[in-house]
Amino acid sequence: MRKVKLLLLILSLTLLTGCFDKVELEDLAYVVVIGIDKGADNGFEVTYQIGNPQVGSSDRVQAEEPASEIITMNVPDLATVRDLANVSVSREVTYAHLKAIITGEELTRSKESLTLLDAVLRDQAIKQDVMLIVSKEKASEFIRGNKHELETRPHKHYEFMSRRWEETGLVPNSTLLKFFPRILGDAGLFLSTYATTKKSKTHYGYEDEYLAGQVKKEGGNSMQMIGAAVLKEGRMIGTLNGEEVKITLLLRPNTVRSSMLASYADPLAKDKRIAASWSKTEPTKIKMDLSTDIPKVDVVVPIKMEILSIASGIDYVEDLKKQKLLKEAIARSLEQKSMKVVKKTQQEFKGDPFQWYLIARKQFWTLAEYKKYNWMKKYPTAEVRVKYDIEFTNFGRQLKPFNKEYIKD
Amino acid sequence: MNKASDGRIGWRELITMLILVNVMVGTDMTPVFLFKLGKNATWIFPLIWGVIMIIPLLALSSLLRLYGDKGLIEIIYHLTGKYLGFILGSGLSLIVFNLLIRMSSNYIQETTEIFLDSTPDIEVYLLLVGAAYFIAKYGFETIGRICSLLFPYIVVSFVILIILARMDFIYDFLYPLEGPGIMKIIKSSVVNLPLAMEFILIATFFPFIKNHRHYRRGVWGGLVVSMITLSLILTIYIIMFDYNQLEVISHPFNLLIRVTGISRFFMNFDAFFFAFWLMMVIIRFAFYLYLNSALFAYVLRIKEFEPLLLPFATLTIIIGLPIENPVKNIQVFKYNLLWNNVWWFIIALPLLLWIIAYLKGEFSNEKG
Repeated sequence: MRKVKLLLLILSLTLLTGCFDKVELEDLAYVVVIGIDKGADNGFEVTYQIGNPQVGSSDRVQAEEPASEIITMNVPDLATVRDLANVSVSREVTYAHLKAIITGEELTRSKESLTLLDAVLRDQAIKQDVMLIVSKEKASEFIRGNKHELETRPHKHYEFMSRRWEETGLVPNSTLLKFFPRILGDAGLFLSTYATTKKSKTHYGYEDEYLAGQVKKEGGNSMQMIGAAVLKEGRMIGTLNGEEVKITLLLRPNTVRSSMLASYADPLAKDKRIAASWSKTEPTKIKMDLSTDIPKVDVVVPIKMEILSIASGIDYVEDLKKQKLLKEAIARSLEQKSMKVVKKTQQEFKGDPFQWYLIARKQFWTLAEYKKYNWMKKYPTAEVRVKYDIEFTNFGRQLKPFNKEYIKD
Repeated sequence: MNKASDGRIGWRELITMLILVNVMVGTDMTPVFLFKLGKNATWIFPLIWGVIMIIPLLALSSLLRLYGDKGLIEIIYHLTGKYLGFILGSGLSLIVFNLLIRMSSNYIQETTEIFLDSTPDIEVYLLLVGAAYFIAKYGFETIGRICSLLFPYIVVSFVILIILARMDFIYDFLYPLEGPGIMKIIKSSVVNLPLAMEFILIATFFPFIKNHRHYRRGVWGGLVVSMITLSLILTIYIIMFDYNQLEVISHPFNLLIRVTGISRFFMNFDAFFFAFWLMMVIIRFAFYLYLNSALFAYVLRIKEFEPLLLPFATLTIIIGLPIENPVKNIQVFKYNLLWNNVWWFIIALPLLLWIIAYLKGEFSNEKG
């Protein structure tokens, strides 16, 4: 028995120390962003942005190192690139801290776009909460052009941005976790964040009617992230601007947004705007009638609104009649905008980005019936009615606007 | 609470043991194969198993009450005689041995493939089966004690997992409710009934359980809790990933623990759950190792079966190690003789025994 115990002791020394998978943090190169473009000969051009953990830490001895290293390689597929990266990177490449996967628009519009993500799903190291971003230019150019100077470390930059997006709703919350069910379910369009670092023709619009690159802005990071790339069956087929994305998110059944800022035309004074902050705390109510070949969809969006400024100085607050007028005017303008987006998706994209297929699923008892109905095909012909149910919850700190005439006097 | 141990366990140990051992099924590769059959209605499977199990369990329970101190194999021998008893007993024994090998190879490959990339299979095999052997060596009571000790911690970690994952749930993924159709659900769930066969096989250890009341409480309580938990786990997979994706991915549990994280400070939180998962794997190994040795010994009428644990542990490693990959493992495991026919065997065996006992008039003897 003593011999057995001794043997076990020796065995446990070799077994329990677990040296096989030991990795020193020093030995790893943490890829924070992967950029993927079309490469030569059916291959891909993969760009790695590798974070430097030393920068921004309290260890400031060698602070002169850059915050990240960016390398681009031409490879036949995504899986093998990790080893190839070691031609210039001295450490073992790991995806454990991957934050974003950026694909160039050219690649996303091509046929390879879907097969490419097969490698991503297969990879054990990639987590499903990785963001998906489509860049207008090549991904490699985007990553190099994205100069986030206040957050020098790249992972922080992407993390902070994604948290803000969840609140503002100017870009969709696009992660792998959302991507795979949508694409494999073959029932709806997937919206991926759209971004660029190149300036395109800028124009002046209200706060959200932009696509990435169109916002006129001076200074700071040249990157702009607004709007969405529309993916159908894994391939990009078009874009939605910031406002359209916002409306799409509102029409989705489950999205909840804490606060977004927007301005609306004043119903009584032309050229003047009323700024409001609004939130959606309840799920959208969607009713569906799929008994006929033409689906009927009734959508009611509950919104809570807070008035921030009234440029015209008309009293919409204490005068209940005018309050009602304002409510109706805002609802009408939102309804018109929503219908425009719905028409666009029906005619241009022929697919539904609103996740209404989830509601359509509820109308059937078995999968076979649901598949036979083919929501993707039926959606373009659907009769959609959108209504907004607005509640003014708050008017800020000031109730009545100033009486400008009185002050001037 | 420091009662002298008499080698017998109460309902607390029994119920936690059954739950831990059974619920593990939801966290390995088995759900992947279930989702291929049940699509988005797979969560109904465990509930159906629970309902079907009622009848054989009732039969078994009344038999156990009748014979007081006899285990399952002894009852089989007593009722069916030497030859048929041997065939039935060795059938059960082979089923369990097959399961032990397939299961161990499956868990070990899952561990090495996902968490410990460069560790050789044999190391993990030695470590996990070795640990299981040590637990099993101290007897049935120890397995039960360990289960009841670990149980609260595992429940807490499971609740944490649900809370962390809750944000990404989309409940609409459960619709259409019937999935592939009622008939298909019932059919494919009945065929997979052996995934809950622990509840029948536990009767082997009836002599190790304090009395019939403890057995009844443990088994029925365990059946209800673990079937509901299993159903809950499958539901979580569905509302997290949707059935389309579940048909493609290989390790849903691993994917689930990888999406969870506590805000942005604890992004890679999976190691926490991995620790608990490993403990459960070891418990499951220990239970099956012990069960297997016990069945083998009872069938061959060997008095002492604890010396058999070491040979069986070794055998498990030797046979399990060369299996190439988990897919092949499960495919073979699914489509072989020892698995395809298990479901009706599991249902029929207790009923058969009960009918024989009834015809022999054993029940009336008791009354008289």
